[in-house]
Amino acid sequence: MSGKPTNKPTEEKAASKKSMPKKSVPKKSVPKKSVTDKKTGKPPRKQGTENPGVAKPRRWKATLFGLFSVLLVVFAAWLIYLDAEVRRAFDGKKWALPAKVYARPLALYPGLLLSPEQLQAELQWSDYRQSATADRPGTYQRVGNTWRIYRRGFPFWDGPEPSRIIEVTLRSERVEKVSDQQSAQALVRLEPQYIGGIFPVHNEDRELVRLEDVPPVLVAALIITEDKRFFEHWGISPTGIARAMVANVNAGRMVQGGSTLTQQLVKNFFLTNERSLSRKVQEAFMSLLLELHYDKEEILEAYINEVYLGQSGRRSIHGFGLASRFYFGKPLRELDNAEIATLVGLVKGASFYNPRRNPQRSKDRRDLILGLMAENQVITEAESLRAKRSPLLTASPKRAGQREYPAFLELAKQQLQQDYRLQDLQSEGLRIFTTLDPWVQSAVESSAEAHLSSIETRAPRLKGKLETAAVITSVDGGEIRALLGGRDASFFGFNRALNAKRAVGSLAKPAVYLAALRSGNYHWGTLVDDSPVTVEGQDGSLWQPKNYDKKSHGMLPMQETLQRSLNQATARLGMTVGLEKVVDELVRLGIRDDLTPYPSLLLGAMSLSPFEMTQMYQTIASEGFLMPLRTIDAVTTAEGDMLSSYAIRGQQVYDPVTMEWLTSGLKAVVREGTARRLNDLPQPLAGKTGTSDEQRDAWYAGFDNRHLGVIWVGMDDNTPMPFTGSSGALPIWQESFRRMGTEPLAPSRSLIEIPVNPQGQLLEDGCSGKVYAFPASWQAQDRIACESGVQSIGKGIRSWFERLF
Amino acid sequence: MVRTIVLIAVAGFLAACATPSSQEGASQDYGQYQDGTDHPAVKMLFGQADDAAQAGNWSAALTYLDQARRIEPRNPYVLYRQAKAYAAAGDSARARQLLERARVFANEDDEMLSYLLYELEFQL
Repeated sequence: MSGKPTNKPTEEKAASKKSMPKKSVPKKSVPKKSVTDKKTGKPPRKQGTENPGVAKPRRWKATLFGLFSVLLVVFAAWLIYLDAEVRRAFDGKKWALPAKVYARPLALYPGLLLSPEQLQAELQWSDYRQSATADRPGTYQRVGNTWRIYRRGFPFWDGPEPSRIIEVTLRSERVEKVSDQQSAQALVRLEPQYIGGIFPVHNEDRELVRLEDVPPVLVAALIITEDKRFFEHWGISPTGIARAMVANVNAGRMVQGGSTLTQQLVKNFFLTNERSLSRKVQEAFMSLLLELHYDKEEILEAYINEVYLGQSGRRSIHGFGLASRFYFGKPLRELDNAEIATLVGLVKGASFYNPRRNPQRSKDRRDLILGLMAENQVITEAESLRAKRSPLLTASPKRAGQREYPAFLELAKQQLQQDYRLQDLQSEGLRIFTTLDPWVQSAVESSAEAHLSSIETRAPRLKGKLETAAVITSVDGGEIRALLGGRDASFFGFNRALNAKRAVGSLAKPAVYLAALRSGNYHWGTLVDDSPVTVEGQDGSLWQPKNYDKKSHGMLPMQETLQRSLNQATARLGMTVGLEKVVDELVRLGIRDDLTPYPSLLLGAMSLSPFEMTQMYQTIASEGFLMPLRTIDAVTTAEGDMLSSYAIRGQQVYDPVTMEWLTSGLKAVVREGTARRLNDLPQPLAGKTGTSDEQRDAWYAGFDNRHLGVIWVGMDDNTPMPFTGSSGALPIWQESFRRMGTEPLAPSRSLIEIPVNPQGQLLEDGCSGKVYAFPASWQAQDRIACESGVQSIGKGIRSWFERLF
Repeated sequence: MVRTIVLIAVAGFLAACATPSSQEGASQDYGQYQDGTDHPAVKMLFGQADDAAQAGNWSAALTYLDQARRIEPRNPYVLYRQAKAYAAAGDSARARQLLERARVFANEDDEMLSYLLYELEFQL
């Protein structure tokens, strides 16, 4: 059967390596440069013999001898050089191994908020299969509320864990019990999803495997298909070459290559795709040298890891280890015979025999290899027949384990580069454990797409123009749980979450109210004036902000001006408190951009990225803890040794009471203000809508007890939009948090409630009046009795009037 | 001044009461609190953090504690332990910052609060 021409290696594989043109026939290419070198126009290496001797025979002989000696020396030197090349490349780093980036592992413990939908999704994304028995790693079984999961072994950041069977019981959206086969467990981790790599320039990706981890059937199938005499030859196979030549001459073109596995490896390893005779010669010598220094097993292992087997977007799939995951969603060990034959079939042409794009061709090739395997007693005839009957099933290339998260990866890479060299990240096979929560990411991605599509349905002229960005973090740790850099979540390009500097509009307003609260002269019930206001800038220009409804609303409690996001009241309040004070608060909250203290800053006339706005709201949500927003949990070597790990760090920059006080205003925004459409979610929640001038930007920043989310919607060219923050961005937040699971804010630990009358005067406890939150330490000397209604104008109000400009 | 003396007395008393640890050397630097939670997963992570700390691997100890913190984000005992791990690793600035943070959540826990104040005043 070795005589079957289709089983012979061909030259096609390497040609498909870089770009993947839709080429239909793999064998057509003809050697381009076998006779002359086009650049020099000279026939190579033959001058010596073509210069007929005219001198005497003796001189001629001596010249020939001299020439021969020189050639010999040159040849020897060349061999030595080749030898050094071969050894250097093979002994040293054989491959640039991209860093592998993982999401957070799902930690299962009793009490964890976890819906069945989430568990199901997380298992699917990690390529787990539902089965009736769950008797193999990578499978699970669900009986009612109990999930039996055969978890795979995985090298976690703190060391490897073997595969094990775990049982998880869910009740009312929470984990009730986790156990293994013996006893209840306090905490069990599922292995984290692979979310992408940090690739070198050519985006070569691979998952290294050791020969002993490769199923022997695969090794046998590979050898009988590609190089039957692999264990006998010395690197090149004269009979193979002769047979290929005969076949090529008969066909009148290149239909076969005589390459051994060693030659194929050398070609991929050291040489380019150039197909000249000199390349062939060099390849042959290098193959011989390689065989001289290394045993067959080492060469085979290298081949198995090197070979090109597919393309996924920018990523080229190398080696059987990664190909197994890529095409079948499981590790090499778990492959069946049909899948092994499919992968071996790809060696001949990864594009041509792609099981997803060319299923029939791929199946024919697979069945042919299965036949070969039976003929060579690698498997039995019965096994071969059974495998041939099985359909050509591949896992979806779009499943989460194989898709990437470009926006998050970009930030992770930036943060890693604070401690690691890019070169090491691209080549050392580091394992990066990150904070990404795929469930949260998926919630944000789908909510954003659904909302933008629904806007476009209503306003077709916007079709394809709306963009979005989102950042979701954990409230207490500043860990980035999701990052959306644009509407197309799989796009490697402009990352709006990090790099789009947009006018933040009313999202800046909390800084104004914070300055007011901290001045000691204001509380949420203090009346402020929402009437036309004019501020003269340093250059003499006049600033006259208008409200969204173009009206003025007179004297209103401060909380109401925030919850209705009134511009005139906020501008007046900011000018009264002092522009510098407001800028100070912005800086203290974590804004590091240069803020020029123009009055328009009070209404958010500054351009910041969603990431920067997240930093600001993070400080508020965490009750005053300014912390770096981080993506990295731990980094280990390819072998699993820990290089670095990260934990919470930050600085308490505000008294938590002050932040709770500010948050009580942001709660009012959700309860009865511009974000009240959130009232179908568990309450209380806090947040602020934002709309920039002429509605070029729609924002919402808000948090529940666990997560903070900042959403932006706009157009890249800054065109005004027919909607505001509350109709453009807020619905995305709402739907995301609904899908993620919302946990209401915890009750305040340090605030008390005091009734306030419509004049802004504090009443005694139990009086009827609107109740506002106050710090427990609030010095309220002027509280008045319930009946007395209008007494004197309270101290706060009077002083406020006095300071009015 | 009186407050300080009372504080020293209270802290000294508490330190004396604290369960003696089996891991003498490491735990002396690392903090006397062996409890501070009823959560089994957090307890387990505390144990793993202790093992890492005993091996001198402060970075791993911090990361274990950080996982505990994700489960009980506002448990001052977790933050206290993280502070002690930073301190043992020689980063007293960060240690202080986390003690301050722990204080935010130690409001109703007088014992914890006195511990934190003592650490802030005299240890770091």
